[in-house]
Amino acid sequence: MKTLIPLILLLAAGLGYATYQFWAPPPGSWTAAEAALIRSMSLSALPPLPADPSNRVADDPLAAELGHQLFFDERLSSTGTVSCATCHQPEHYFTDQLPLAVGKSLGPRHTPGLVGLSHSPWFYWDGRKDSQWAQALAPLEAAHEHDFSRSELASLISSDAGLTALYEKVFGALPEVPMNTAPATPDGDADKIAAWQALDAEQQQAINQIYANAGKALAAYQRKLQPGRSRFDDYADALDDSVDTRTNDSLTDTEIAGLALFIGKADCVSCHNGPLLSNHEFHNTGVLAVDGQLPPMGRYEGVRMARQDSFNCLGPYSDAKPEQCLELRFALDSNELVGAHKTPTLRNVSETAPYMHGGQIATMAEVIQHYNEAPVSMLSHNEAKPLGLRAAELRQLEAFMHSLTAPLATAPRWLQAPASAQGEQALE
Amino acid sequence: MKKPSPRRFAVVLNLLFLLLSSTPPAVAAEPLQAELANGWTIELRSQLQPLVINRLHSWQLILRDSNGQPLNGASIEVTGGMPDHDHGLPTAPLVSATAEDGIYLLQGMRFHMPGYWQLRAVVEKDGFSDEVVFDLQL
Repeated sequence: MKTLIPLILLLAAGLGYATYQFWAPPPGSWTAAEAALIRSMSLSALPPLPADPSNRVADDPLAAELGHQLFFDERLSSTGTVSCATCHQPEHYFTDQLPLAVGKSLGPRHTPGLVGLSHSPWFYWDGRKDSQWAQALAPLEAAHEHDFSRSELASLISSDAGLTALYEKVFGALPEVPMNTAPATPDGDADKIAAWQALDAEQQQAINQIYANAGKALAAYQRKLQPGRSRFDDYADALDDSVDTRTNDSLTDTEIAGLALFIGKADCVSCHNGPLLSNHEFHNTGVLAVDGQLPPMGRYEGVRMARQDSFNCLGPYSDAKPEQCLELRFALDSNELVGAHKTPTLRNVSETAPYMHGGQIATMAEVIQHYNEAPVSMLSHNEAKPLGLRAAELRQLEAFMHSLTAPLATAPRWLQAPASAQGEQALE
Repeated sequence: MKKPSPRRFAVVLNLLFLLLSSTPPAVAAEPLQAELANGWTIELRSQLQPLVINRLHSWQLILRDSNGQPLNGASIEVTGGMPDHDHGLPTAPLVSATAEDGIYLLQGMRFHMPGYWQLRAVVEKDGFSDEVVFDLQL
């Protein structure tokens, strides 16, 4: 009999440990504050799309049509094979399933999704752009993305009758630009810069105007890309009437337990808050640098780039009055921003792997484990703290992430190449 | 000569989470008030009502002397942060004077997380300087 005692103790300890790791029932009811916090994350609480005073055509339907055409047009690249949709693929919530973007060649950053992005005041992982139209310009000229140039873009719009007509309906008469010159831009390699410097000031101005307007049309199109209602939203809205956690069957018990962790012990809601589950701000969460890259300075450098950008809110191509450029004026410039990257939305997150600014983390389970451990940051400090989540809780949190997926609240025609362009091609 | 010891007033803004509301956590943002070491008072009023996270907004600041008279010409600096998260405000707000006596405008405020925040106001005028701290639960 005595020999059995250690065995019984071992079994009891094993059972105890298993219970600790794997038994985590959801709460029975929410506090009023928790219910309010959950409702604040529902799409029902999403404010109207914020105006962009720097883009007077942001909500112009014809500008969105022009942007739609440009977004899917592979002629906007040196190889004739790269469009915005090469990386921002509609069928993957405008991401590409790759760790690092591949345009003309491999890039240094993970392709961010575009869904709901027009609610954000800053763009790029490091916030180097202060408007969606200014953002849309840079990839066109980046050597690893479209490798195009503003002079070629101006030539293309001027030489394509369909694009010219649409452009002139939106922006008025197309300025005259030198046609089919060598690729010219002030932001390219030595040859492109030399070609740019060979143009006179008036030509440069005309090309820049067309370039900026193309960005404004692309932004008008991207404002159409909005998230649709998920099971989570149905659950959150039902909390109007009850704080019982099982008030409706939109979420499973496991997902409800995950939600409780999301707003509680795991504290995801500190940054992933509001209806888009993003505060649109910048945080250092101790993610390792991409293999072969130095740890990036993040927003610390991004805010400087935004200030110096000639296409920012205060620049000559912005439609805003200087006093309307509040984000730029009150932008923080602080050591706190070293290594900080933008909080992405968690809408549709289970469909947009891999994760982080460099696609460093392959799966959702690993992302949650990353936050559970909160490793020391390579640069500056990790704002997140270790969470001490148990095995069952890690799974619950992951289950909750799946409840945030839904088809977009965007008409299907915007999610494919424009029919008119396809029609024209078919006629040829 | 006896110097008044610096006094710090922590004024807790009481929150009212409206239980039966379909809107985001609706905060009844009552004015924050504090008294400075020399008996002056400063009041902070959010111009965003209800006070919600993730929105750039302004506050009105009202500075009065110990007799309740408005005070012009002060230099006021407001900073803030979340002590539990070890970070500051996500923006760099600025205070400017307005045309109205004793009223200043604090622009460029944004809170980007729910939870416990602190705001610090440093008031300087005619060689006098003091700092007051406000607690804010969002």
